[in-house]
Amino acid sequence: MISVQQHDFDAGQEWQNLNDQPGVGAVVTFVGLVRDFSDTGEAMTLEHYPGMTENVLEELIAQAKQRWPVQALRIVHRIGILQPGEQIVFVGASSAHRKAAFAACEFLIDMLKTQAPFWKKEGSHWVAAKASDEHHASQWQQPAD
Amino acid sequence: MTRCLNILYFGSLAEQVKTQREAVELGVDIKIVQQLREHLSERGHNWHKLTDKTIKSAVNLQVVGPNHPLQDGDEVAFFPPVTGG
Repeated sequence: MISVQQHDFDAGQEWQNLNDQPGVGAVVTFVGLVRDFSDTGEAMTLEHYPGMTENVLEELIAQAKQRWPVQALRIVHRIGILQPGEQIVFVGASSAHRKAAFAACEFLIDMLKTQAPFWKKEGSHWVAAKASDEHHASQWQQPAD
Repeated sequence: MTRCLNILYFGSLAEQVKTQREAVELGVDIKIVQQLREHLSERGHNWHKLTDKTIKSAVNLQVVGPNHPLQDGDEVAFFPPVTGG
């Protein structure tokens, strides 16, 4: 289940929602925050492609459900103007056992960082995509059948 | 037969070409995404960035390659590598 929104999310409530599933023995979550990127108190701006963003996030959730035995998956990604220290993204997974929850959670954040159409601006400077993000995403590639 | 497309630009690319969205009419000579990119790049100034290999293309909300065909009413988007998360 995915949300793309301006307003902040409650990570505790999101955790609780993941836990509130039958047969859950493990909950794994990730929160990404706006780092302190300048001394001048500048804000981060998060742009996105409405319509495509939601499609990509839902497709990633569907892929994770196919690959791992998970009970619930959740992505919340904020857009708009965010201050240093604010939450940007929540990714969570619950499953019967921990390996599936860890793997699905890491898969979702690694993949959304290279596929979901968001663009970050720190003050007036556009953030450049990182080769390390491509590397992390490529590690999840499955061999062709 | 002319076709009409909606084109969207995002991120640093939108700033560089000073355009977020536009409606464009295409002649018969522009059949695929790559031809559209080359056509737009001929506008001068920063429009040459449309031929930059790092710029991605999407048609109707799906990332596509340079040979993807263009049809009347398509929504096309061009954008730099994504940086969410």
